[in-house]
Amino acid sequence: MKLRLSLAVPVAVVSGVVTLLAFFIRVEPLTTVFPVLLQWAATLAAIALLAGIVNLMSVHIRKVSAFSAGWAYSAVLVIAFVFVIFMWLLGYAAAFAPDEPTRADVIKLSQESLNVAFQFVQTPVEASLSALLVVVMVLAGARLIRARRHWSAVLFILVSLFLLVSLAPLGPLSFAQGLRDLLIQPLAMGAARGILLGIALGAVATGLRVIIGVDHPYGD
Amino acid sequence: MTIASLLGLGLAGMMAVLIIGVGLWARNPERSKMLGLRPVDAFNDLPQKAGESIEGGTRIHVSLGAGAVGTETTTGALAGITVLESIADAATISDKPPVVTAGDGAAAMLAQETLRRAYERQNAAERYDHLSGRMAGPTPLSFTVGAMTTLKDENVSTSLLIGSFGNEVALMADAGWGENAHQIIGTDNAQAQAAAYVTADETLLGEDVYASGAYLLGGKPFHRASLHAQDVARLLIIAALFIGALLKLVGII
Repeated sequence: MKLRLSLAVPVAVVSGVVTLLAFFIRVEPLTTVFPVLLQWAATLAAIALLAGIVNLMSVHIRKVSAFSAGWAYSAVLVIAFVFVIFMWLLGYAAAFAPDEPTRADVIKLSQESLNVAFQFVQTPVEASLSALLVVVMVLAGARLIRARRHWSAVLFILVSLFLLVSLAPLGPLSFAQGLRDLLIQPLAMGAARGILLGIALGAVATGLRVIIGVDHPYGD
Repeated sequence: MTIASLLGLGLAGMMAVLIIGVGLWARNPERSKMLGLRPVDAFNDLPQKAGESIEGGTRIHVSLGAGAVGTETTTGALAGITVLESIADAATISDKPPVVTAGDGAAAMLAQETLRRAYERQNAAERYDHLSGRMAGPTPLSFTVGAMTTLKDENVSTSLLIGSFGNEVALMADAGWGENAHQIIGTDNAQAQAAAYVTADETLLGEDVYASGAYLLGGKPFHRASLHAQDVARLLIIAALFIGALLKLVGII
């Protein structure tokens, strides 16, 4: 473990410093090393994604085999995964078809199956979830006052309601435009920029701790 | 090299020097106490809530968000890993070890490594289950659904969603609310922080997402130092903005 870490820390620090410097300074040999490091990172990320998918399947296969809570949903996921992978591989297997018409049929079957899976299953399900988000946010807003008895929660709800009503095409409320602009432009935008500045500095500090080697999430 | 690049490199360099310098200085516990921290409710309550989960025989869920290691959301996942580190030692003695969800294979591997090390420190390596750290889904919405399922099926009583989340974090929080779980949300997405404010029990706003190491883990000196480096950098940026606005006002630039 100690040996592994004694290698990992210098490699991480040197890679991090080189990448950081190459981002700002365009001189040799940094400009040559920079894309190579990025390519290595992309390759490693692809391998990590594969490992992640194996991990995802392992979790669900274990749930199905143990009949633990929600196993039926896991079974659907595993079956859908196997189906999509099979149909995708079928497209490549078409190269081994005995003649051209069969090859074309197999490729068409593969592509249409994948289209059905993405266009008529994944896209509508994700769109429905996004729509559900609106309902969840309204319900959460109603719960907020009860859950958090604080003046900031009351202010949050009042401002949200005001903005919703003032954005509606209601003639008598047109007077509210000035107040709405005041809330959105200088106040909300100013606060959002302050928060973004904080997030950016926090991200830089977190990255720097890893780059200079005082934080190593990859080992003790 | 442009002026913008020079300023960016200078700022990063200054922060790195401050983190190392102040961090080394603050390794002495007496000096470390001199680096004051403002109270953050979420961090104050976290050890108690984690303890209640462990004693109650329920599970702690840590989610690192849909961000991927190697992209601009890497630091979000690292912030989640720091929180996981802070609770892992205590949580691994529980009958129900913590469960971690991530939206990326590399982040899931980092979570597994963090948990494995915690079990090793407790001399209980044989109890480590590599599937406790898992990838819940490869896209933001599939990850959300996977994490929601985990919240429902794994008897979770404390849910810490610290990482890179979009507005869909509200769906996860709603699932946690349905399970009566105590939820702390911190995200690197400013818009999603508003969604988190409405749906979570406690929310980490702005840079607080990245501050967990200074408050938890016994207040690591380099983490405390990095908060002060951020404050110095923020003051410099505010001064630059102010001077820029003033120069614009008088017509010099």
